[in-house]
Amino acid sequence: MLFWTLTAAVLVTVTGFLSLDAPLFGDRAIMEFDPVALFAFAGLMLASILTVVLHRKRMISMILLGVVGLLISLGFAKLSAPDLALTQLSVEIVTVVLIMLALFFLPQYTPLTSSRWKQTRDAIVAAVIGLGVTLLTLAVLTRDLSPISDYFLKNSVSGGGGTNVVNVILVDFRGFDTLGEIVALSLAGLGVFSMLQRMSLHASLNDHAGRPWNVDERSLILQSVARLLFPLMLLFAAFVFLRGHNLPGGGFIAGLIASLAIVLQYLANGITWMSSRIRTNMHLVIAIGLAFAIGTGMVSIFLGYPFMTSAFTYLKWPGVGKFEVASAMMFDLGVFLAVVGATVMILVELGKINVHKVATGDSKKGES
Amino acid sequence: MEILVSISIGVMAACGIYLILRAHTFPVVVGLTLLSYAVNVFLFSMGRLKVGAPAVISPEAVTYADPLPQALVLTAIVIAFAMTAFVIVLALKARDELGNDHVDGKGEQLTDTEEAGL
Amino acid sequence: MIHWVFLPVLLPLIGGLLQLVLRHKGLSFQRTLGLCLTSALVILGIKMLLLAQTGETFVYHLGNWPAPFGIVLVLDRLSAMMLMLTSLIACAALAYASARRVDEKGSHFHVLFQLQLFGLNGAFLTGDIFNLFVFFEVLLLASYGLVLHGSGKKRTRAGLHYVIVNLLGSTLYLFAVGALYGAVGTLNIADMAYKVSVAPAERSGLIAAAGLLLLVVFCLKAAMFPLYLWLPRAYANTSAPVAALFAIMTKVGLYAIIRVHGTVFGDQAGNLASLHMPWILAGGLITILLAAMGVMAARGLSEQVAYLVLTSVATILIAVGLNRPDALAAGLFYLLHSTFLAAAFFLLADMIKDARGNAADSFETIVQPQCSKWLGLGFFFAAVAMAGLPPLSGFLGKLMILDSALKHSWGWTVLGIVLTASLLVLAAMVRSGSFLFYRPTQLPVEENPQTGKSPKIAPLLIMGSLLAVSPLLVLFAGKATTYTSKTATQLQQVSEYIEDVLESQVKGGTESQK
Repeated sequence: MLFWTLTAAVLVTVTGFLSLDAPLFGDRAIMEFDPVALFAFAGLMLASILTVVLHRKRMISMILLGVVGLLISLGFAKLSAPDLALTQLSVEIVTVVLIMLALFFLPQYTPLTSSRWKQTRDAIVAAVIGLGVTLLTLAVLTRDLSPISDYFLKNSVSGGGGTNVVNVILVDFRGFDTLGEIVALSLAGLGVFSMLQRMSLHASLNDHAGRPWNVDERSLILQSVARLLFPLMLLFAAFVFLRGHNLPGGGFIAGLIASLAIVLQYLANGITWMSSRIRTNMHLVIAIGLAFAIGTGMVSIFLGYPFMTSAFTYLKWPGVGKFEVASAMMFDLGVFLAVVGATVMILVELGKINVHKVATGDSKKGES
Repeated sequence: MEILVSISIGVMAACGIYLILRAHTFPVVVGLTLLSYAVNVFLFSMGRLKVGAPAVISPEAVTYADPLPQALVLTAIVIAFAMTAFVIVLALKARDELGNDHVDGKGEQLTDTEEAGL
Repeated sequence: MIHWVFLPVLLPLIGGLLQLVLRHKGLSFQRTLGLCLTSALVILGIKMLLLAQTGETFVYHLGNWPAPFGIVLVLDRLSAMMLMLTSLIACAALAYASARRVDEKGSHFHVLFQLQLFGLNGAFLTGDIFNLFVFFEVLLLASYGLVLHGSGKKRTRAGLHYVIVNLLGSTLYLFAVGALYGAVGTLNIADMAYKVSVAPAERSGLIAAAGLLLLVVFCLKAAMFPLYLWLPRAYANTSAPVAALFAIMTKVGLYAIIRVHGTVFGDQAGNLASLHMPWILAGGLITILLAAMGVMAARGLSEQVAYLVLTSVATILIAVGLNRPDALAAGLFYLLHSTFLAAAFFLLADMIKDARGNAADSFETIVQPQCSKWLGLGFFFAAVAMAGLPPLSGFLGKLMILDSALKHSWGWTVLGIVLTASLLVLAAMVRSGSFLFYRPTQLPVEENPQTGKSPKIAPLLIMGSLLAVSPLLVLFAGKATTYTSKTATQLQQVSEYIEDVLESQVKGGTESQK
């Protein structure tokens, strides 16, 4: 089914392009590249290709995936997208934690079941699509753009009250997209929760070669460092949240950092220890986040304006000076809470899979 | 620079697609992640590439990068993460339902618990 | 007046939040709340129809930013029709789920249901192509949760397949949207239509490639060949009320094709006009044949109904692909008919499954079901309507489509294929009907038919009310066809759509900037 989808996509797109007899590339000048970029690019290529070549060794391929993600984050930073770099970095870290938790219950190796013919066929399709995507990208990049974003750049400060245009687009100009996005994230969290309710998987004490995964139950270094980092990470999350409207940052990144802070504690101290200390039900956090986001939008309805019309003003605080107060910040707070709730819910529920086996006196490996 | 970015998108997409076409769920997940990286960089580059011109309004800035694709990519990254989390847990559930309780880490009997039937 | 357009999106969103927060109050509270919410949606649907009847296009500017810079919701006849359809099916599906206690089998059924409606209504109202992507993701994620509701090996397998195929589809969607933005520089559908019409000729190849890639994604959602295999697997293996609600899901793909491609590649696009039409027509024709064969080869009633859904979607694709306003109007009429029928049929299949006890709905064992009188009658009506026999609405719809097809250059091919497919479907329905309800004397019979349960009144009534739409559509055919042909005409007038959206004013503003 996937094969046919991809083949259909390629065939239809190529036929459509060729039927119009238009040139593939335009004539916009392209930029030079510097040696550092070339080096990073080479690293990215190597990591991607190795991910494929070594894909049957799952742990290694996961690490290489992390390398690809980090190099992309650097690429975003170089190409003038600091918000994206931060988001990619945080999502990368959360994804790695997620895959690690899942790999705990999955076998460490993928068996070889495809025949030579299938491998070749798939490689050809993949190569054709890769080539097609490259050509498509170049076809666009060699042409000029007169986008609608000039409006955003012009009106970001006067209409939205912030200098970080990307963030203003996310919470103000196109805030409805962001609302849909946090609903999607919440749905994923709820779906994961539902699925994990009845699951009981067994995790092995040893790896594939029979060596035990660890000898100590908890890593003392991780516990001590995590304890020190917790307040710092939360403070950093608050900092990133507050500066988001005017400098790179914002609700998403802050939410991901805060959830990583909490998940780090679970990783260091174990589920049972943490569950007696953090009793907040993550469903409530998600609900409050969604309520803030929707509520902020509703306020403008009660005032007669369409949903999510924003307003901002400047206050003078003694000692601090001029401080911006924007309704978009309440919306961003809703986004923050929803992200924290959903991410922590997903990761902690995954970590809880084996806990009941510990209660029955089974492996000590149960807590993750 | 455009050439580097285009080739990297192409290579990541090709690697992702090859992995997706493997029949087992874990490579499919890794492949989907690689493919989503490729599409994120693609979407971002649609705003044309600029170095050293972040979309933060300041008096010293000469030019700005296109902020709209960046906002779109941010949304896409978060949605892709939500989907990845869902599909990973679903893969675990599929494994659970097929009743493979005795994975002892040595010489695992992998039947087609991982076949996603794609 | 101004906020009415937004309410069909806001109500299920708040509903979902309420269901999440109040779930500790127990299932009966959630059921009552859910039914109140869906009934309110039905009333909203009627209001939307009344608004759209005036022929005006209503534009709602989210965030009070002018189009094309902000996101807009657009209400016209097509959107109003889809909203009404969704709310009626949702009401029936929720009522059935509550009556048959399907919502007890997992957690969060009601939250997922409400948020699914949020995604659906948003997709039907939005006028922005990236916002459409976000709403697609919302409705897909909710649907993943609903498909997997309950448990079972087959369900999980089918769910895994469904999820992965749609993840690939979403990635392709992003490629297409990115390429379109890179080519024309905007995300608003109306603005895109305008920019495509004035784009320089050297970009037309790029725009065509991007547009067709987007078409592939919508065809994946609409289950067109060769992207249709996910549908029978997912729909046949999930619970009945979810399958009934999913009768709308394929229509989202169809709606997207009509809305996005119909507007962007409409008549004003120059040499890119109607780019997608030949593909849809050819794809629809192939799909209907393959789906009809699937109907014949199905081994159980649920699977058969899933393939029947495929045939009806393929018929609508053919109607759209004929690229004529009368065909489009006929296709919309058929869309109304087939959605109600498909939902009713899934509910019926579920009740038959229950009535046959251990034999479930498979065509391999012969069991006399409990209460076969009412179930058999329901099956008879549903089969007649689905196969397109007179006097029910299937016949009327097909007749109008074929009538308009004759004026197309491929007319005789279309006629031949559609009629062959209908014949195959009819034969298959006759066979299943006799399998399920008649007992031939020489074949062995299950010794204990008592394992079946007779259906209760409430589910029968719900299913019956959905089935009753078919004769109602025939009785009120005049009104229905007037509405659909006015819709088709409105859809053809792309330049008016562009003008209405781009020149609409924000609250407290003067002329919009362009």
